[in-house]
Order: sequence, then structure tokens, then C-alpha cells
Amino acid sequence: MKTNVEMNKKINDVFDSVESIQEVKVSPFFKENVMHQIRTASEDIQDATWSWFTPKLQLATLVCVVVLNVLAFNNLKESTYDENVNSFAESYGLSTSTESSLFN
Amino acid sequence: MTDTQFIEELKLKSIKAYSKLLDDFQQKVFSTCISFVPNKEDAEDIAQEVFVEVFNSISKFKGDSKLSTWIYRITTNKCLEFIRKKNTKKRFAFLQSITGNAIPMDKTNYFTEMNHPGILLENKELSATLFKAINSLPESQCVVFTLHKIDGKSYQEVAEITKRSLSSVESIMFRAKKNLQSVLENYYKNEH
Repeated sequence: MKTNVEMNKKINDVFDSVESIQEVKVSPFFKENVMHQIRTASEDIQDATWSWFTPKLQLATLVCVVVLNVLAFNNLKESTYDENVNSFAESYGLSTSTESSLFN
Repeated sequence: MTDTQFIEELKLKSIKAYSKLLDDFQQKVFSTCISFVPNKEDAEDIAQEVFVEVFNSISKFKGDSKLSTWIYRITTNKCLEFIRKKNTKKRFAFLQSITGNAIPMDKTNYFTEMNHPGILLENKELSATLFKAINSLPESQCVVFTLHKIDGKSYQEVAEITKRSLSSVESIMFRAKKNLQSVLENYYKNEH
């Protein structure tokens, strides 16, 4: 009987010990540590934005741009003055070579 | 600044907004962590992880609940994750010991090695017994009891954090107290 009473008292003491737990203040450096981690995470995100654009891909893009420019330049050079005049005449119906007559 | 504007700033990853968030929540989050994990260093590490998780997952916050509730939910999950890891390590050490591995088994429990500056020396043993008993409860009961009794949150707050109804929280709390009573009875019976 006495043991039961003692045991109940101990159990109550354990439950009551919750009430005596005091608030613990967070360390003064906590905010600085978290802000440092957040800044690092933020930089990692920015780095990750262009991480897919690897040096190999950059070189391939550069080659593509150069090739396209060379092709476009050659194309421009090939077109002569006569071709330009002919195409102008055709578009305004001034060309004689393409005219067709019912009597021919 | 309204709450909506503040959340938008957080979503834009504004450093100023996170600085304000820390001013408002660092103590609250840390208090919840140390309620689950009675070790100051570990609680601080978990609290840091909580804020980094908030930074990484803020885009997923839909605004269905209050920002504070969402942060406490992350905190609770992080604490449970930490406790689960600690318990797995103990089980692994136990398995190693029975398979004849040379590594000596650590017979102590994480909750008996407390470093809680808020617990007075004369209550240290009682509190360690309580934390150990709480840890033996099913997870839902452990969460509800810790948030309400140790962290001092209201039933309404606990209901919002755990996404349960108020009556469900009350019933879990009742079962938690009953189970704790029987765990402690067994503990003191075996002691005698």
C-alpha cells in the first residue's frame, strides 16, 4: 500500500516537473548563423540558374552563331545588281520576259 | 507591411524579409525544438534547418494556413525526423552488439543525456524520466503532448499544426496522459 502511494507520488512529481521547465533563450549568434546559411543557399540558387550552360555548350553555341553569320554573309554577296532589278521588275509587273501573249 | 506582402517578399527571397522572419520566430521555433529535443546544441541545429527549409520551400506555401502554423509544422517534422534518426542509430548499435560486432553498445538513451539549461538540477532526473517516457509514446501522442504540455501551445494551435480537429487533439491528449501514467508505473515498479 505504502509502495503504491510512494509510486503515485513519484509519478505526480514527474508530471509536475513539466511546470518547472524554464524558457531557454536562443544563442545570440543564432540569427547570424542562419542568415549566413540563407545567403549561401541564395548564391547556390543563382549559380544553379546558369549551371546547365556548360563550357561545351557555350562553345557549340558560338560555333553555330559564327557559321550562321558566314552563311548569311555569303548569301548577301552572291546576290547581284541584275538579280535585284529583275526581282523588283517582276514584283511590279514591269518584266517583259515573263509576259505571255495570246497571239504567241 | 501586410502578411500577404511579407509572404511575397519571402517568396522573392528578400534577405531583409528573412531577417525580419528570424527576429519574429527564432525564439519560438527554438523553444519548440528544445521541447522535443532536450539538448540545446541539437535544438539549435534543428531550428537552423527549419529556417533553411522555410527559405527553400516557401514557394510551396499556398496560404491555406497561417505562416506561423506552417513554420511550426516544419519544426515538428524536423524534430521527429531527428528523434527517428537517433532511435535508428540506437537500434543499429544494438543489432551490431548481438551479431558479435566488436563495437561496444551504448546502453544510454538519448533522452537521459539531457543538456537543457531550463531544467533545474534538482528536477533533472524527473525530467529525464518524463522525456524518456514521452519518447516511448506513439508519434501522434508524443507530438500532441509535447506541443501542449511542454511547449505550452493551446489545443487550437496544436489542432492547426497537426491538421486535426479539436476533439481529436483532446482525445489524443487523454490517451497520451493515460499511456504515460502506465509507462511510468511500469518504470517505477521495475525499479523496486
